[in-house]
Amino acid sequence: MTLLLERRAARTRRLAPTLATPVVVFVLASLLTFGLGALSPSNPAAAVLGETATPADIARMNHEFGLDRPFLVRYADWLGDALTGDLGRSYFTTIPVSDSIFAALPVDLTLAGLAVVLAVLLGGAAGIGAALRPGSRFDRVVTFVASGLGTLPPFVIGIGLIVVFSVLLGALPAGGYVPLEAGFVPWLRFAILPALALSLDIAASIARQLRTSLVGQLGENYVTGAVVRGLGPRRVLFRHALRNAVGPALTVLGVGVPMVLGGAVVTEKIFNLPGVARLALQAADQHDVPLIQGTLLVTITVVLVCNTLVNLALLRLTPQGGRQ
Amino acid sequence: MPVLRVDDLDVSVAGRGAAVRDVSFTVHKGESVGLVGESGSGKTLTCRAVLGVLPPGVAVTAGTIELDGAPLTGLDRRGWDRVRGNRLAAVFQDPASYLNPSLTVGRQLAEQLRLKRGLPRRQTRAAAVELLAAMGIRRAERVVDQYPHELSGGMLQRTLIAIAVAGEPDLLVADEATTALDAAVQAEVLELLRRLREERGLALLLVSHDLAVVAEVCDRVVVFYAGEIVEQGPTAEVIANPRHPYTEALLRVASLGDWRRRSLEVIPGRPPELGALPAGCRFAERCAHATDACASPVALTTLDGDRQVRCHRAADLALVGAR
Amino acid sequence: MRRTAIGVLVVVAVLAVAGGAIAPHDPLLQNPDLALRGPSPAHPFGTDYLGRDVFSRLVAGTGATVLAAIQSVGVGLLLGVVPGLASLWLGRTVEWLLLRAADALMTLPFIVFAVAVTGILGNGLTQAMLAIGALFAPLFFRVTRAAGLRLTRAQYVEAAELFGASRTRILRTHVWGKVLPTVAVTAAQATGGALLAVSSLTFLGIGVKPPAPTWGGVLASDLGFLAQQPWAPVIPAALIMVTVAALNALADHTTSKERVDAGLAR
Repeated sequence: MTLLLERRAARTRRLAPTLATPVVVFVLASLLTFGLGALSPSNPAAAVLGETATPADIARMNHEFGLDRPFLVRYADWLGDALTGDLGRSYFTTIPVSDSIFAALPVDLTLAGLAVVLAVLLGGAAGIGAALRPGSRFDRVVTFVASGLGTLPPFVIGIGLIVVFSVLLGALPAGGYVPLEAGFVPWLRFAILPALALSLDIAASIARQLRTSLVGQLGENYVTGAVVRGLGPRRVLFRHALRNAVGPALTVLGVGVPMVLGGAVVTEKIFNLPGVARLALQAADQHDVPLIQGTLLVTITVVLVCNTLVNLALLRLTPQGGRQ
Repeated sequence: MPVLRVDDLDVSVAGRGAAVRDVSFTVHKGESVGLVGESGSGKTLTCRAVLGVLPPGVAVTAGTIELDGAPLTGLDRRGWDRVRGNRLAAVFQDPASYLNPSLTVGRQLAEQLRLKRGLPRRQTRAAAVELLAAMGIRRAERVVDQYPHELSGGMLQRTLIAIAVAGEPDLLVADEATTALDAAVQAEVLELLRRLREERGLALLLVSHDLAVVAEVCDRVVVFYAGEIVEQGPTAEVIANPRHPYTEALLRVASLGDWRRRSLEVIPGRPPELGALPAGCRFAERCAHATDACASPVALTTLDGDRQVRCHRAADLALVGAR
Repeated sequence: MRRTAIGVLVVVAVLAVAGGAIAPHDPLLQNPDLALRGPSPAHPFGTDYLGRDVFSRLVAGTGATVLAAIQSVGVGLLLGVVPGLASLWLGRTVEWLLLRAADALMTLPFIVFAVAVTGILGNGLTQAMLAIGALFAPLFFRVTRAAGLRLTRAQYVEAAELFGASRTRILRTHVWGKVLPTVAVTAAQATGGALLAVSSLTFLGIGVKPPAPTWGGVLASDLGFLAQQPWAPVIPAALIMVTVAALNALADHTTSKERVDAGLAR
């Protein structure tokens, strides 16, 4: 039993950096987000007071907004508010930024969730299938398609999907959105094309990584060992080889989350979705600094949470710290 | 009825011909048989054929392998999965590489106990600890939760043996199972194999390049050279009175008997390549006793009862055994 | 393969430099009578919804697109290589901070960040490329560090240190000569990525605002008329993909050649 305690202690030691790094990164990234706002040439006081404001009015307003205090003090204030869910108010609509974002976020989260599921399923199936028969026709097709998808910009994939499934086949809507609460199938009809557009790139990377590492693992002695023990092909593949082969593909997934969210901006535009990215584009168009900062900060948070989850999964899969 | 019966087995490499030719031997219940020879002699391919795990491009092209009277050759994967782990099991050189690095040894042993002995899940842990302890692993209740990279070579080999015997097989194949271990651990593992044989009636097929290891454990020995059996018979007789010059040479290099007094010897020359096998005796090129007659093909002939030898001059040579 | 890649890049370069001078029509000239026409001798790629000549818009848009990509890689090089080398010599605190900063930048999604930067600092090509460049910096930072680390552990650098060569001298003569090739290959690969990012941004109307022609902009104007002209996006998309593929092929070729050279030298 002492072994389990020791092991738990060792795991905690390894857990510390996995959990501490995202915190540090969050602080730095939020500093950057806040710093951007401070660099803004548009002065909120001037924006609120309009063209007729005198410099004295602006100075008074700046004092009221607290903009005459030192940078780091303002940053600490802002971050403190942000962490308690207060991201300020839009310069233009004066609607709390967090309200706008949390109204739009479910669109992105459900979409990104579906995209990740699709990427894992498609990439996983293609990668495993190719690895089981290296050199076969299926393997060559997977390699060809995967490397081709890598050079396709996400918006090209999106447009292509619309052309095929909406324009030519007329099977799915070309754009728009129905929330998940309205029912799974209606939601899926609108979500499947954008999610597919977001996922194909990552699916291709997953397929490539999984194929390479799985081919390597299937040649390992422990796989022969499992076969000789009389374990069935499915058990050998899923319980033994895949467990050791899935690491690089998981890493791809971790790296892929920022890509999904980045691609989401374009995808939302193509498919006309009411998500955070559309909010960000609107805000950028209006130089609405708090709303821009809010969308950026929320995006960063989502990315960091996803990365940390992937790292925790990797930690669970590889018991031996130094091996990878 | 023998546990394992190999008859006229040919194993061929695609495009390069037979790497194992005309191999026949049997292993009876509770018996221990050793396959010896240099690397590339075909002993490992033979045992891989028995286990049904030949490398890609290598296949059984003639002959039969029977386990408990039922043919193994021609089995499909499902058929193999019913035999392997249940009636047939194996351990290998470099045990660490034959265990899944990311699962505790306990989980791998438990998997075997559950699937092959049909133990319910909640009993497997206790049974795993018990089995590890029976393999001579101290503090088994600790080891059961350890990962392969945390264990020593000897412990790993014992674990691998535990996993192999978990399904209570009739035949255990040990392919160079003690080769990478240091001398003391090697002796312990061999002792364990001998004990398993006695206690469980387990038949052993032991593959080694070292005749000394075979001599230690095996009742019978089968000597391989260049893909063929050159001699087989009861271990004690073969060692005391070898009938093939290659066996004599192997005895000279093995760490047998009074080996400390002898200088370290190697057998001069190299075995013929697979593509360039001579028509006659395959050992002739390296044989000190070769004559012109050795250029003609030579068959495996049965000598006095239980021994076989493949040598033109078997009748007239007086070879030196282990002293 | 390499010849084709170089050929493609030469054509793109010529288009980028000559641009508007080669275009047969004014890329901004609207002609409502000719809207959404298919390819014809006068308009080889057809016309868009305002009757503008698509071929001319693509040719005239090459300059802005390519320039933007190169600019962003340049920014990335500057912001990546210098801190990369600095992290090797300026002590542990600086190193730790720079590494975390690189981590932080890597979590930022390209387009969201570029949208934010242009939203706050103004919607211009320079701002957009600054944003994209800043996100390329960690890549160059890491590559430079890795190459530099290998070198500082190499024996001849140690020997030079023992002989009392100054740090700047070691940096100049030994490290720079070895780090540069690696960085160059990475830059070629990054240019492909940058081209994709630029296309995405101009597609969104960020960096270069319509009606100024860009590759991404042409795609964006096709988007509303997929029902009438489902084939139209193929042309700008193919242009982007072929250019990116050519850059990747060239980078891959250089990488594998470098490996062969290194193998032979050993």
